[in-house]
Amino acid sequence: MARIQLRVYRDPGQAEVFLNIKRKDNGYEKRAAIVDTGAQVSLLPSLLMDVLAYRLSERGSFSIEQAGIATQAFEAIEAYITVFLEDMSGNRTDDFEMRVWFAGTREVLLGFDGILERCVLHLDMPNLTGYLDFTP
Amino acid sequence: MATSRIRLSYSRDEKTPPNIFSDHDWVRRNEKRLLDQYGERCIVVFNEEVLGVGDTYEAAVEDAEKNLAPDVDEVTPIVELLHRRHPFLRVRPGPVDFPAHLSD
Repeated sequence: MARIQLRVYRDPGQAEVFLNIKRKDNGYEKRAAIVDTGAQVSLLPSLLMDVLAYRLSERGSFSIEQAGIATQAFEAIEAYITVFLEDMSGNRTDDFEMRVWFAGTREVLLGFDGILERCVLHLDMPNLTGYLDFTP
Repeated sequence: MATSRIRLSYSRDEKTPPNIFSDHDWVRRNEKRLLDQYGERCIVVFNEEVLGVGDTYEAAVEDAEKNLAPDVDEVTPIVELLHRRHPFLRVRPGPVDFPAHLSD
């Protein structure tokens, strides 16, 4: 596997990584995802479900209470997608499948399940650098 | 996408066009202005220029296709879902019990 450089921003502070997500047409969609150490599961906008390839989990559609968005509850669909990560230098991970929740959001949030739990996260805000290290 | 000149799908081994990263940075740097101009909509950006706008991913791509000059063969844009950012995502709605001396 590889060390993937993050894209780190100020005002607002944010660390992002580029995901390549398998599409319905068998190609890959390139999309930046926010590294979110408060998210158990990665979150994707439901409006991308027309474009992306996914496999529904047994849980399917469900409602989450107080799970990360400041409304009482939100509906989500649990599914598995195939992704690989890459950075501007051309470093790439292998393909892997990860569990995500599709919901009424416009953010792509990268959570622990299936992805952050597999890597070392290094974040250097003063120098606006960071990386995810997937070295075994 | 079925559109012919808006390239959004790449094979596994294909090198990523450099504009993908630079255009993403450009959107981040200009997010406030873009939000003021287009609102919370989908935009198609290529080489620091907004090619298309729409309420859905597909509508934005269709708009970009229409706006492309006839002599352009293919572009490799990004599709950004513009949205206002909130400083916190996990604040419960409803009443909050602040310390008494701060509630007066």
